[in-house]
Amino acid sequence: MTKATDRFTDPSPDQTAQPPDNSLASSAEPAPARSSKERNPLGELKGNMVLAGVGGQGIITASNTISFACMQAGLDVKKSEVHGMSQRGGTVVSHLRFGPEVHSVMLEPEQAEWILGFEWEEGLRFLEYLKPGGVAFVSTERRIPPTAQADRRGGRVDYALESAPPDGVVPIDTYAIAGDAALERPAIAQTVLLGALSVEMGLPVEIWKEAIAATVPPKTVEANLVAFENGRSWYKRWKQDTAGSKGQTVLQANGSKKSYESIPGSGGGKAVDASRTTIEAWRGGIPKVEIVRDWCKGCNICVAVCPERVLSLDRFDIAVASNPDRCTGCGLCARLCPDMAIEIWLDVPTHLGASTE
Amino acid sequence: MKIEVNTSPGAVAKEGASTKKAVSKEMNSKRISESSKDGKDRASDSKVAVSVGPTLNGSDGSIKHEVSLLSGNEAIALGTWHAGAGMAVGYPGTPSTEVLEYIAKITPESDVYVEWSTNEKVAMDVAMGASLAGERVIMTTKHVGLNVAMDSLMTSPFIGVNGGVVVFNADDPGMHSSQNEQDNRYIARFAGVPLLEPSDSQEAYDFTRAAFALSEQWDTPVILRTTTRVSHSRSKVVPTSPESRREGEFRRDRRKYVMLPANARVRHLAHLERLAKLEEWAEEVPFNREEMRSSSVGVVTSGISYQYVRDVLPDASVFKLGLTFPLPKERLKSFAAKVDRLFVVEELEPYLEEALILFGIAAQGKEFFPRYGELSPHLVRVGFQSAGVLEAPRGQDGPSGTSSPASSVGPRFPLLCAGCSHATPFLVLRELDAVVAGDIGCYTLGATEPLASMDTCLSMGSSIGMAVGLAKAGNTGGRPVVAVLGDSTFLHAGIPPLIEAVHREANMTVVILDNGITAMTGGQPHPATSMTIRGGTAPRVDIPAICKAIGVSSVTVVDPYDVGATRRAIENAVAKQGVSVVVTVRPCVESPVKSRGPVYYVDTDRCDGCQLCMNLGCPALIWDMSLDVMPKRVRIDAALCSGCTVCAQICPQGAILPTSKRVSVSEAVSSISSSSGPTERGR
Repeated sequence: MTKATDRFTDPSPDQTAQPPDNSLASSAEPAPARSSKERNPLGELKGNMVLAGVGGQGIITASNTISFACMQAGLDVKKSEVHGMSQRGGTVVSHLRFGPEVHSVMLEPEQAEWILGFEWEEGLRFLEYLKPGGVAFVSTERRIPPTAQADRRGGRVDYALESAPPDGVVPIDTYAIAGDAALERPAIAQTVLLGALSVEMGLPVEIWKEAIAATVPPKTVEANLVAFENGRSWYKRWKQDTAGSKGQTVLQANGSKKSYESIPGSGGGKAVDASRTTIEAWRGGIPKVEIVRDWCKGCNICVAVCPERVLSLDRFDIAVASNPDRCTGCGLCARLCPDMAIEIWLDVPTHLGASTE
Repeated sequence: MKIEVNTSPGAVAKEGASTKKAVSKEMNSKRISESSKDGKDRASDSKVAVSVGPTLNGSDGSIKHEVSLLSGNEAIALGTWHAGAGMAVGYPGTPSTEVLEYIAKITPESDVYVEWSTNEKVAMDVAMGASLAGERVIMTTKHVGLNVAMDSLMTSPFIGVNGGVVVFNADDPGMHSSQNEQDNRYIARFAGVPLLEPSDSQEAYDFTRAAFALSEQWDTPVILRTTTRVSHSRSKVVPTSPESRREGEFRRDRRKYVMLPANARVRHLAHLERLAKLEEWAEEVPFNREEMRSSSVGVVTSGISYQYVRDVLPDASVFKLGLTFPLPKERLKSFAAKVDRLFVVEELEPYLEEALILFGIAAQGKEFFPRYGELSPHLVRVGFQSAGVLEAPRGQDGPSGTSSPASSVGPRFPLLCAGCSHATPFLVLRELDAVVAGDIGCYTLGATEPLASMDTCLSMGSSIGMAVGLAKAGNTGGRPVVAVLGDSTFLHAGIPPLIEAVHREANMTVVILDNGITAMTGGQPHPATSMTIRGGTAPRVDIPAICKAIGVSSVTVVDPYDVGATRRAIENAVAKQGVSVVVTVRPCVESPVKSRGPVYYVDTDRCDGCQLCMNLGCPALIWDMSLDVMPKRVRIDAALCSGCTVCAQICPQGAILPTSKRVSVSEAVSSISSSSGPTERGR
């Protein structure tokens, strides 16, 4: 008779305990003042959050820290993790829920009180999970994926570089706030987010510090605690300085920029400059490839070197621009052509009505 | 809620197991049971130690923490050890990989023999052998891996077990990291073996321990099935007191173990008789439970879907199945009779729904809940809304219908790592415009822009076989046929098709990308890695020698960081008649150790923005937006650059230079080779 089967014959409280109600979906914002309960003053806390970023940013460690803190407070915790292919430079997202009893680990849209964005665009990506009135702490660190730089002509970047942060988003320059240690170990910068979160979550600071000490690499505990404290005090000041915010942390597109930068001791954190517009794409025309057929001997060099595979040999073994729209005008083919049969014309007016320079 | 408690035959383990109570591994079981009786408040007692992940208290193997936040896979690993299993085998595959890794991490070597197998079928056979020798054994695989093991799995219940055999199978609905999403519950029904489905980490632990006992009790392997969200979500686990390693020995029984037709006929009958008994037993098992609440709506569900249903419909009555084969016909009927409307909520196929129809129970399922992808609380809610159980959302739009900034955020796809040794071969193949039959691994990303030079990806090892077909059919427009696969994949299922290629004289080239590790799943050793899962040394299989022994006349070994040599090697191989093999050898940049050479930078005066380097798809190469020139220049992110030198080699302007002075590219290549010497595993 194994103990494992004992569990079925002797139903554990795990299975018998019922939640008082299904109030997770409608949980109120956590209030640190809610300490009237005798048995466990923290036992009624509950909340949901989404942690998102790019692989290697320490998202799993951060979610471990939060989970540990919740468990120390006697709460049930569940969290999801990401493994496998999605780690190869792709999005990493973890849902984390805590409360007296948690069923599903996955959240529904508009169910999260908080979002922790470890990377700017990844933080914005999951805003659909944010409750109205919730807070998204988003690092201003930007990791622009190569796929966002696929435009080969003007250097346009398909990324929310400078767009104004939407309502509920608190942009945090984690590197600047974290302290010097973050320059050597970037993961430490993200602990600033935990510091900011701790202001809203309602768990005692001691539990947080214990959780950090238990979950980060031993060598970095001190630096992480500094980053945590810095993040905590930065966010407290930020809350004070954003005027008229009664628990509602809404960053106005223009108005708050000033107060954000004027926060004393914010470590020189750069604000997200909401007034700047997205980077202009280069409106240069499509370059024209001209090949003198009589001079081409079909050596194939240009076909092989073209980064954009613009050229190919036709059935007479003469080079032709078979994908002229993809030409970026780099001129590599023209320079390498042993017969000087290729000319690239950059100043061709295009349908965009603009020309180069 | 009322839990039906039945002391069933299944709950009674074999006497043999009970006599071997753990003494050496005796934990403080009294403390555990006390703390677990506190229920949800147990962790609020500050004396209860908690942990995230399994943490051990030294060499005696005792568990330090009473409450651990474990992933489903970690819980299964712990359960396997605590069940007294002496062996754990499998092949890595998301989302199943972590089970063996955690067994290797938490168990002492004397307790469990744990090792990656060459493929899933080998693992299944090793498991059956170990079982006959008296060990309790777990075999781990992802859903498509079980296809590979099917041959042995189908006959395994005929032979039966000595020590318990648990086949741990992790399905991947939503295809987070898979080539298909198949519902392997059908495989349990097909093979006629019991199927357990946990819905959180505690159940994963409990079911694993119970599965070993069940396997021995019913003389058949037992399948333990999870899905991604069960395997990769963390929830609390309270372990129970462990058993010591099972003792047993091989006893000759040829009528039972040798599946000659004469024996197999007898054993098939025994198998069918057992199935009939299993069906009766299923009515009483404690793995299934009826939770009666409101009688208006009843839901039959299992696995992770149970959690979603509890969140979305807290008042509904639920029949939660933990044993999903065989199903408890009578109990389901009686549950159906107690509710007005009966629903089935399950991920992927209508497996339970079909069973209910066969039982003559009217239930609705797939008309409201999708048959593909992952379920989510949101999809379950939408399903119950369309069924009229829940009211439709107040606005016209659901929460997801509102315009969110997410729609303006660009996609972020997985990429080959900075410095990945797979990039160069794909650059060459793109240039050759070859028809490339691909395979499964990191390098499948070679099919995406900008490398974009892979044309097929079907299943493990399929590249070589498909290339034989492509080459033999011959209609490739004069383009050469090339098969590309990794080292682990080659050993997994690439050798038989290479034999086929040689024997059939197919005109094709095989490029084996040898990075010395199973990289896609996080860096597991394989037979051509001179390393065991526990970090010890192991004999290494020689891949080029295998190719030569099969009869490939042209086998070239090349360093993919040397762009020119790689290009020449592949070009020459493609030009040859018959089968040629190119093995590109360079350790993975990420595992088992991160390799970092001198970082490179772009001389902006020399760079003319041709972006040839960006065709490598290296995440370290980015557009420099700060320069006020058009076109923009390329910049190298020093934090990501591994110093592989490949971009420096292909830059037509010679604009990419090492940050450390006076190092030529060839010197840099050789310095990487020597600096990574100790990690190169004898290549």
